[in-house]
Amino acid sequence: MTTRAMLGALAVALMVAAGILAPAIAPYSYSTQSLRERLQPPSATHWLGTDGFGRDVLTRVVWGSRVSLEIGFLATAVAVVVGTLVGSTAAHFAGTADTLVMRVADMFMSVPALFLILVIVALFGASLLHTALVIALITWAPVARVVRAECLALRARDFVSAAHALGAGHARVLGHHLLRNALPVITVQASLLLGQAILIESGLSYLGLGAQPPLPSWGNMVVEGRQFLASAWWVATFPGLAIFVTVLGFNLVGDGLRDVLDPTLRTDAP
Amino acid sequence: MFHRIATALLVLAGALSDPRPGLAAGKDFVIGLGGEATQLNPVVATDGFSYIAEWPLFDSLVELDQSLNVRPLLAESWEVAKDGLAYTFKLKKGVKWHDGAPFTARDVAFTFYAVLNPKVTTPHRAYFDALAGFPELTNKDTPKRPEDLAVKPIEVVDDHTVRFRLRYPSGSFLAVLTNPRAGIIPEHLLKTADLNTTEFNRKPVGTGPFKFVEWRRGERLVMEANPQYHGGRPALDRLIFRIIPDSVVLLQELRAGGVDFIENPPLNEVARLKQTAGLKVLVADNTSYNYFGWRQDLEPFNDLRVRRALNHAIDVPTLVKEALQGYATIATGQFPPSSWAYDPAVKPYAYDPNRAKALLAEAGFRPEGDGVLARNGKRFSFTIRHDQANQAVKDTAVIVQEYLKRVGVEAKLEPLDWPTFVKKLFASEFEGIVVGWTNHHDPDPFAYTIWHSSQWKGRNFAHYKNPRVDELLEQARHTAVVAERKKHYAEFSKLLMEDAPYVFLYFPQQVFVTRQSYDGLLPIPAFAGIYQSLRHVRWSGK
Repeated sequence: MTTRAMLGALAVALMVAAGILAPAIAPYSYSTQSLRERLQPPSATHWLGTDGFGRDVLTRVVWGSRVSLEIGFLATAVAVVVGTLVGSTAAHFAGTADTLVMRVADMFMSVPALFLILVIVALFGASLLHTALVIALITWAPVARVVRAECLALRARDFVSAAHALGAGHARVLGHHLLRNALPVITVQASLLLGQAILIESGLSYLGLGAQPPLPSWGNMVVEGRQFLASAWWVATFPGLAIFVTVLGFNLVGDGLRDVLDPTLRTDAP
Repeated sequence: MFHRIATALLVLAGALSDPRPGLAAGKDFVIGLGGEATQLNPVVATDGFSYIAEWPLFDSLVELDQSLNVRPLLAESWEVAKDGLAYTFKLKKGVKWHDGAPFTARDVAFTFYAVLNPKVTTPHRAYFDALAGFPELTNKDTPKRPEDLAVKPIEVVDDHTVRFRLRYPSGSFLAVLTNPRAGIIPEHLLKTADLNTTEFNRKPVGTGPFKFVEWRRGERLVMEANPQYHGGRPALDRLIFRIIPDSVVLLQELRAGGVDFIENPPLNEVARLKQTAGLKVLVADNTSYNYFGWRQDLEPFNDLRVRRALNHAIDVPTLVKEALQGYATIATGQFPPSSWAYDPAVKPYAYDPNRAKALLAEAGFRPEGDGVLARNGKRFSFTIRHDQANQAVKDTAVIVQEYLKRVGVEAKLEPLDWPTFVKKLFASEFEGIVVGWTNHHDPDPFAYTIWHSSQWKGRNFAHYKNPRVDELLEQARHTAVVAERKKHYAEFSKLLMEDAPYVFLYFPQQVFVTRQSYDGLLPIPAFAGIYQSLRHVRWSGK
């Protein structure tokens, strides 16, 4: 693995650890306000300062990683599972099934994502689960395309024809030969998608459609801090940095994984 | 460092969105508005942005001065009959509509008959309850026409004299004839029009100091000086309202020169704005207040101990001092301290979380495992709905939520977009709410409609009912003697505080920022009062 990928992995590990350990390591409560101590700059008592309600920014960034990662992982899991199933099935069966399924995927990709999100949130209300599902809804189609392309290429290979000739059933060919060999591509997709999901979640929270107060998410922290940008930069800057580091981390890991798993795309190849 | 980069970025963003295209310094005054008007017609306008935008276009019979006394505008003088049942207005002569037609008493009668007409959708009808024939004219199913009445409520005596007849003496009658809710509209253009939908509401013609030029939806509204204005031509050439629905961007536009005037900047910035060369900050008291309310007839809010406990649970003084930086006055009921109806003897509930807990325990609430109180197996947990766009309200809701949590009450916040929120309010579809009342400088129009039990389908959507309060509001409404009204309203305020139907939070002050080089802006301590003075604004070149 390259140094860049290692750095990415380190950033991701740090954020995941912070998210998991939030209740134990956060120095304060994420919701307890202290109006008399609002907008304190970073100091020994509040390492990253306090926000407009006198809440500790470090605590909220740590808890925010929990919310952002929960949504990120859930959304990615759903998108990858659905995308993989749809993509590989389409590739395996080909013909009408393929055309039909991929046109549906095209349909999802042609609707502006934000519009779809707004409609769904307006219909079902804003909650963490909804947010994750909405993100999955707009990200499964690209996954399906990539997986399909990979499976189509694999399908033409000799070992798949051999499996068919030996009388392997659909399930065996799909599971054992296609999906197993497409796994590297799927893994790379998942790691890239994680970063993307976290970004979308931040955007949604920024619009007031994600995590609801007092629960912190990086997106709603940035929007709350925006009004203080000129007078208290720390309120919006640190959650913004957290988004930046995490998304960059996932992307570096994704790139690194691709380099390792798919030698044909290796950037340092001769 | 960070702060400099952040400012630079924001200024850049501001600069990219066209600063002053084709504007003349000192002659064009650009007002940054956080939202857009819906109707430019004072009869059918319902919201603050519409009131602000139609104000410079339409004059009313009378207007308020800085001490909230009524003074002449389109009316030159008026006489009140000894029994208080007739108001006769002498109108200014030589006043012209923006299209050149003469303004007469017939326009006045037309305007207020339109307000009374039940086919016209207007929030102002109830203000004119005192007019003779009000029940007959406003009857939804079989409204009478003014011609059919024995006593004409509004009589055109001659071209420049108009008489209003009342069915009972009313102390608030002059007050409801003031702008921005009582601008006069032209009969000659609207006689046969449907006021709810007419094109006029988008291309208005008034008698005000500024004439309508153009309205590009979502972008700008342009007006130009009316050279024939009866009070003298305004010093400015043009008024331009730019619609920028974001207080941070608005502020940056002001700094970058894209606008000359904004209202309600982020309060944290005010101290710095006061120090900024070239800018000045104007502050005015307000009649509006924000409150935390609930449905009075729902469990457990129908228990007086619970309502008082909620009042003791919230530290309003700290909220005002810290979150609002002191730009607000603690509310002790319906009336602002500047009102003559305000009674300083009424005190708010002291912040005392222990007293709150004791009252809740007395009401039968016991803490559950997670610290939330419950009574008979039912948790004290409810939803607070609020407007998602209003930053002050949003922050207040988050603070209220936290104070409630400290006494074992769980509140979930549900931000809604403004139209949906208002619909749910008036349908009484809520448990808790954090919202404000714009209020009127006269006590009657809002006190009666919010607190009288006959108004459950209107502004009393929280379903408050106290027979003695009903009686007091009626008595206060049916007299024009200020001393008597004052006595009734004082008892009303005392009872209201005892009943604790809301946590009355605060009267936010109105904060405006403009350039040092403009003189003449006068912040009148009523809702949006400063916009009345636009006709006096002039450039000093400083």
